[in-house]
Amino acid sequence: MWQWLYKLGSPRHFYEMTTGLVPWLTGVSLLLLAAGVVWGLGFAPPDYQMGDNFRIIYIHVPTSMCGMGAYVLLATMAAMHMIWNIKMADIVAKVSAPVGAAYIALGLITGALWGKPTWGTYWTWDARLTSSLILLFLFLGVMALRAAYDSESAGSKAASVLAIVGVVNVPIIYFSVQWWNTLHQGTSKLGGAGSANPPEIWIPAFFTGFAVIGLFFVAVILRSRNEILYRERRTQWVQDLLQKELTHA
Amino acid sequence: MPEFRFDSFSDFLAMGGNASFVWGSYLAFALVVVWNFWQPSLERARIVRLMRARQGKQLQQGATAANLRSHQSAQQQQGEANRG
Repeated sequence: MWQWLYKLGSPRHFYEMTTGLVPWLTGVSLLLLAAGVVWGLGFAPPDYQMGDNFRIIYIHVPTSMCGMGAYVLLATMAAMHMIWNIKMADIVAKVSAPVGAAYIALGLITGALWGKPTWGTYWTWDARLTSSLILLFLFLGVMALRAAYDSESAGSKAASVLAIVGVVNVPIIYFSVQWWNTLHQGTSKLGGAGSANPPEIWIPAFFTGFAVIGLFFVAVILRSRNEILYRERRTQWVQDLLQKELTHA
Repeated sequence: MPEFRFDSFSDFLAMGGNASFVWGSYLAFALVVVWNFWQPSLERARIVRLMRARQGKQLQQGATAANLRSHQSAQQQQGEANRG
C-alpha cells in the first residue's frame, strides 16, 4: 500500500499507472451519467412543490459538492507539496484548480437557474451562495497567482500558500445553512432510513453523483498526464514514449 | 420499475413550463463535460507538436555535428597517412 502510494508520487509511475485506468473510469462514469440523467429527467417523479424544476438537483448538488471536494484536494496537494516537496502533488494541485473552478461555477449557474423559478430571483447575497462565490474566486485566485510568476517553483509556492489558507472557506460553505438564516435550504437526507424520498428519487442522484466525481478525476488525470509530459519532456522515457507514438501513428 | 413521467415527448421537452431552467442547467453541465475531455486532448496535441519540432531541430543539429566529426576524422586520417 505504502509502496503503491510512494510510486504514485513519481510522475513517470503516475503516468504509466493511469494509462490503463483512464478508459475504464471514463466508460463507467459516462454510463452512470447516462443512466442517472435519463432516470432523473424522465423517470423520477416530479416534486410535489417544485414540479419538474427539482430535476436540476441531479446536476446542482453533485457539481457543487465536487467543487468543494476539489478545493480540499487542491489544498491537500498544496500542503503535501510544501511539506514534502512531492512533484506529483504540485502537478495535481495545479491541474485540479481549473477543473474545480468549472465545477463550482456549474453549481452557481445551476443554482441560479433553479433559484429563479423557485425563489423568484437568480441571485441573492445568502450565506451559502456568497461563500460558494468566494470559493470560485479562490480557485481563480490560486490559478492567477501561479501564472503571475515567471519562475515555476516561485509560482507554485505562492499558489500553495493561498490554496492552504483558503481551505477555511470550505467548512464555512458546508455549515453556512446551519450557522446563518439562509434562503438556501439546509442539507436534507437524500435516501435511506429517515428520508422522505422514495428510491426512484435518490437512486439517480447516486448515479449522477458518482458520475460527476468520476469525470472530475478523469479530467484531473488527463490534465496531470499532459503536465507530466511537458515537465519531463527532456527525460529519456518521455522521448521514448513520443517516439513509440510517432511510429504507431 | 419506474415509469416515464411525461405524457408525450413534447411534454418532456416542456418540463412543466420550466424548459429553459432545467435544460439550461443540463446544457451547462454538458459543456463542462465536453470541455474536460477536449482541453486535455488539445493540450496533448500541442505538447507533441512542440516536442516533435524540438526533436527535428535536435536531429538536424545532431546530423551537422556528426558530419563535422566524420569530416574531422577524415582529415585526421589523411594527416596521419601523409605523415606515414
